[in-house]
Amino acid sequence: MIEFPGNIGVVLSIVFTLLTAIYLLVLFILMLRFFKQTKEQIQKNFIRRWEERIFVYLATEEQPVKVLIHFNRYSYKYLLLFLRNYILALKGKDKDKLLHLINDTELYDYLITQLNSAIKRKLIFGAYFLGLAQSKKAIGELRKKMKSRNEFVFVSCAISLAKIDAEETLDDIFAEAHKFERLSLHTFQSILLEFNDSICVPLLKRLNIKTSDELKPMIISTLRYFKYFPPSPDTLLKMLNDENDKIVIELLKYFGEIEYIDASDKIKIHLQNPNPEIKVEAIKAIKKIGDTNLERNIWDLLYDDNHNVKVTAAEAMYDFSDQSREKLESIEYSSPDTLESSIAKMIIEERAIQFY
Amino acid sequence: MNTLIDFIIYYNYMILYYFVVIVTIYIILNILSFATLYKYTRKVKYVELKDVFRLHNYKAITVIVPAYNEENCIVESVKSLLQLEYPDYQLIVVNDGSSDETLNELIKNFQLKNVSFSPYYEINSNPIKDVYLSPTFPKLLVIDKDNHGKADSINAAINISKNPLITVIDADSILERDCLLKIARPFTENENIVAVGGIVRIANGCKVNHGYIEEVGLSKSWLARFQVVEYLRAFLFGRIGFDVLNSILITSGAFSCFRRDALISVGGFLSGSIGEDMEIIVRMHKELRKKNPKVRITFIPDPVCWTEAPETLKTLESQRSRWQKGTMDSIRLHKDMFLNPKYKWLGMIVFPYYVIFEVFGPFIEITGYMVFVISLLLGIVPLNFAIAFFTVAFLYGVVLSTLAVCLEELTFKRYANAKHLIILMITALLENFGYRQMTAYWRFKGFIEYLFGRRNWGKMEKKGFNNKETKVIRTGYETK
Repeated sequence: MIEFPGNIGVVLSIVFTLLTAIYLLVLFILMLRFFKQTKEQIQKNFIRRWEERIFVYLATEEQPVKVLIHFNRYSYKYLLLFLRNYILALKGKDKDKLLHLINDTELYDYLITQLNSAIKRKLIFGAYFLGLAQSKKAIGELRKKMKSRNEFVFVSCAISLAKIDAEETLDDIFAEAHKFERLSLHTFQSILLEFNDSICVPLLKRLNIKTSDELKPMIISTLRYFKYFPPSPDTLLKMLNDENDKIVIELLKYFGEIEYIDASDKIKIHLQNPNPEIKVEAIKAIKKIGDTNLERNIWDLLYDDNHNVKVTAAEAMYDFSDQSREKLESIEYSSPDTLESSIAKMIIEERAIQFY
Repeated sequence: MNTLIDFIIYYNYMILYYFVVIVTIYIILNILSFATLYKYTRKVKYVELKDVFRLHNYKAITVIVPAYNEENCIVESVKSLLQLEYPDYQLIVVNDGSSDETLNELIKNFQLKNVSFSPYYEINSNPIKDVYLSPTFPKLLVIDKDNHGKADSINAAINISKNPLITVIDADSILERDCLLKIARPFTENENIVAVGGIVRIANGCKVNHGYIEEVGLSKSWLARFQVVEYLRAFLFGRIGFDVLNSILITSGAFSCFRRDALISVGGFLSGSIGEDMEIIVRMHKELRKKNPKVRITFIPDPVCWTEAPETLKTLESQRSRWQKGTMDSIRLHKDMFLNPKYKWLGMIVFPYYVIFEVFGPFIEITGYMVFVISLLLGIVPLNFAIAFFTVAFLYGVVLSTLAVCLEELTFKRYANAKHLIILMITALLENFGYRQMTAYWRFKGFIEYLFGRRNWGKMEKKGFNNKETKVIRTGYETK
């Protein structure tokens, strides 16, 4: 006979605990739903009242401070959430007026209070809206808060500083980013891309002096995004000889993007690089630059050992010029039943469909 | 006789310990999930997805849709997939030797033209017969091949695809428009991530319009409702909990995203496997961790894929039996990971968990019920003990299911209608009385069939989203 584990009282207390847990959970779920609906209702009511008020503000010369008289501090959070969509959607004078409404009123003080809160959620809220409002006077506070040990707080503050275009904080951002082992280069780049293109000058300087090999590809990729054309690209050209493949790949993409014809001699060398990924990027760069002198070199790569290189070479041949396209078409007859011929046929038909 | 009684007594104790251990594991998983979900929802609150990807540092995606006898849903499905929000993606539909009009429907509706292709296969797949492109829908590419199963179809598409990310979905699944933006984000945040799974939710009862979920709802069928709660439990605390330990052993076959280079380096999906979605993940952990111990396979809870759940007992039975066989197959193929310290948490905790509670779980559970009844009849177990044990077990099940509903309400709140929320809570209570035992029995059948060599796919019967009154019987793929 199996003995009853413990006495019946223990079992009853477990049953009672579980029943209580179920009851509390159900109550909790219902409360969550109730709060959610109440919050939505409050937000709806506010929007109904505010929408008209904000439009009047946008259409007249009313002072921002006067607009805010109609709102109590309790409703600032909802007002900001409401303004967010308009700030993101509007441009020009209307957007500027909305930014004034945040920066030149009590809303700004409210956001600074949020930023200085010990609660992370509030801090991030403050940082986010100060960035959105491009509050230049908040740079000092954001810079301080960016030194947090929490990765998400750092990213939020850094993105806001970038949105404000606080170039002077770039060194701090680089220094702080080092603290976070798990921060990916993509996230880091997302921060940099929030700046405007004037960030390229300090980034290029950084590339020259004090940047690790790990960060260099990210910086070059940021320059590519802004299509930055440096006054003297010598440093970048020299870097095409770098031993780090990632740097070379990013540079090839960069020179292709800015269509820098003077780089094609250096790029040509990489058509023979043992790394097929580099070969592929070199072909693409030459295609973008449009250096038809290298047509013959590209043609040779149609017979490369790597399939991706072959396909990219065929694509480049198709796009280069009418002559190169004809040459590609002729391969079908000159060497039929080869892999090269099937690739050529594939590219020709793919392109034909695209222009159908 | 005494030996038999001793055995029954020990077996009863074993069941009791089994129950205590699984309860403890679930409590830990729940705590981990609550913390992770809370952190995640806070994190994504102010992330503007489109802003992140306007940065040109996104990675292009190929969405692969293997299709076998999907003539009823393929056109709508492709139309909706062509409207996903993502800066650069390609859609590859693989017609896996369908015996119906799947291919012709595609050709007719998308004006497909047959084009040449290069017969170069980076990973093993059976030969591709034809490749089609659409002049009007440049993102669409259709592959036609002989029927060799889902894994082989995916491999064929991987060979044709050039993009760095591969998303695999089922032909009858519905993706939310921004789900590619969401599922691609982890790849940009962490270079060590090789695969990401998204959440799968039940579409039965939802209002579907032109391949999109217009309004989230609940089916009138209790069987479908039970599955809603079951999926919430499985995804919201099962997978998130294991994710914290970097030990996810399965991402949904209905919606997962992989790095192409990682798939190529492990040789692609295993052709002929019953549970190819689980097998590939286990193999990726095994092979890729050798090269890079930081490799990570993760799960994120907000890119949503909606799928149709079976509404008949027969279909559900076939599905569950196949899932059980798939789990057993994947575990058997990689048994060397069991208690292998090289794989850390995965080898020492999660893999043994799967062996004990997922592979042998249904067997222990069903035989446990049997032995318990015999013990009761023989007077080995006192009646008050039996009542107390079952009451605790059932109540505990209710707590778990209600917790899953609670997690949903705390985070994503997809069921906007209060009536649906109340129905979900009632479902969380009711599913513990019969439904869970039934699924355990079907999995037990799958366990026995697998042991005795019956390892086929089985038939799937689905209603389809477009014609809710008509039942369409097909042998389409289905995945967990």
